[in-house]
Amino acid sequence: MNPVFSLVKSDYIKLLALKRTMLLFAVASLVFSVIPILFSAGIIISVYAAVFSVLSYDQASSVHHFYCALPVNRSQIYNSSYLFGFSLLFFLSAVMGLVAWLSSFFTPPDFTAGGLAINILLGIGVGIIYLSIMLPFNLCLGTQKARIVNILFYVGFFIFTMNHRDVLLGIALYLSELPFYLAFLPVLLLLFLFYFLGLIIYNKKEFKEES
Amino acid sequence: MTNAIIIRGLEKALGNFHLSIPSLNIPQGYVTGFIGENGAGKTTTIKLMMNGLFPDAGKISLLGTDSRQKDQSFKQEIAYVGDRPGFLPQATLAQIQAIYRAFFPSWDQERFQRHIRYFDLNLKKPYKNLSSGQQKVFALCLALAHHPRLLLMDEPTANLDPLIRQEFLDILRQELEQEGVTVFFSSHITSDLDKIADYILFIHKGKLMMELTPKDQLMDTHRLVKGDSKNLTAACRSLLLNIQDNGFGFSGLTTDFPAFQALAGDAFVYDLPALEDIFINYIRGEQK
Repeated sequence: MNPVFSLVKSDYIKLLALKRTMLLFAVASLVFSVIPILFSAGIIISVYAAVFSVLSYDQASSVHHFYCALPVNRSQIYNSSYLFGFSLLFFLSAVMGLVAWLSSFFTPPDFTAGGLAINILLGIGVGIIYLSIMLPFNLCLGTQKARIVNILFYVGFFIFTMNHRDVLLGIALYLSELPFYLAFLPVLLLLFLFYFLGLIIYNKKEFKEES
Repeated sequence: MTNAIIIRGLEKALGNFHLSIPSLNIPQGYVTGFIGENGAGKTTTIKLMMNGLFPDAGKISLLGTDSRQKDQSFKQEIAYVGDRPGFLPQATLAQIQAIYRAFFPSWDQERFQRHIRYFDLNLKKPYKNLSSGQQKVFALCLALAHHPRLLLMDEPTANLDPLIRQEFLDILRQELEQEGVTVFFSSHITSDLDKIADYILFIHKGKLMMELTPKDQLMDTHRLVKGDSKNLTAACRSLLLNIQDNGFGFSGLTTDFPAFQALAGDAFVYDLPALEDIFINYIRGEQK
């Protein structure tokens, strides 16, 4: 098996090993799935819980010692974290979408099919932005320092949302009128910019005790 | 003789610490004991070999391959048992094994199970529930299961109780005889290396204190010398390291026993030193 896929597989096995920690987040994800207004936020929180729990536990257990023993290079470790993060984002979006769709048969119809699709796409879009920023910070700085960035990101996002609801709505309306690929273009640009900057830094990163 | 590890002009600075190994060849098929006190540079050297740290200068070649090359697949033939393995504590041994084996095409499940049974480990147990000794032997079970040609171990027997340490060394010795694997074994517990090492290397404050030497040669040429200081001539003194005067006379370590005996005859008492005696006397001799 390609070492990158083996590393992704190892991350999923770690998720299983952390099942008790994950249980709370899994329940929260299910709840968010059936509340339309929280659907997109639910995707982000679920992705955060899964991806960054694994990264935090990895750092706490000095996983770099383990990486030293494996036939993998820095790029492969870096790429595997991205693949793990994004595969989880899509998997969770699909599962939560399915739960939302199924729940619509038993509850008042909050979700229309179109509304659900927009919510999923919005969740994926914000999820990509979130992972694009957080993954390179976590991998290059370590989870402790990246946590500060994480807090700033959330606080900034919520302050902006609270104070500029009209702006956000305007952006959403503008994006909804654009063709799909154009709406995602800025998101993908952000993703690739942070990915390549992070990769350059991570390739030069030494596995010291604090890393 | 083919060399499993070749180091040339290696330099690495970490804060105030500076590691410098101008040249080193580790022969293939033997056990090399890498002895040094805590902070001497053993872990740094091994981390440089395993590409965890990058050298400021110089090159390391493992099994004929540059350790810094982008394609790290050569590590499929290398096993590394570090002072901390980096396993997720919540994961069961079976989960860790599933993670580890995916990287090694030559994984031998039967061999792994045999070692697991030998050490009476339960694969359903979470790693964090193992004693520190069991954690070390589990790391060894993983390391040996993919038939490595080179085994790098960093303080593998530290914190092990005597019984587990003996079992650890027994299985290691058994595997070495069967597989002819090259072992580079860092430790400050010299009694372990007394038992299994073929070659010895001393490191102190980031510098090698002597050339790589066969342990038997080290034992043949070194003796602890004790006796009356009045009989100690200048020529004899020149062949002694770390001369210490005490109430009964002096003690010291000769690094050239045949020459010393030829000079001094039976005027002194000669004791066969342990590796620890040799190491301590070298360090104290250098400090003086």
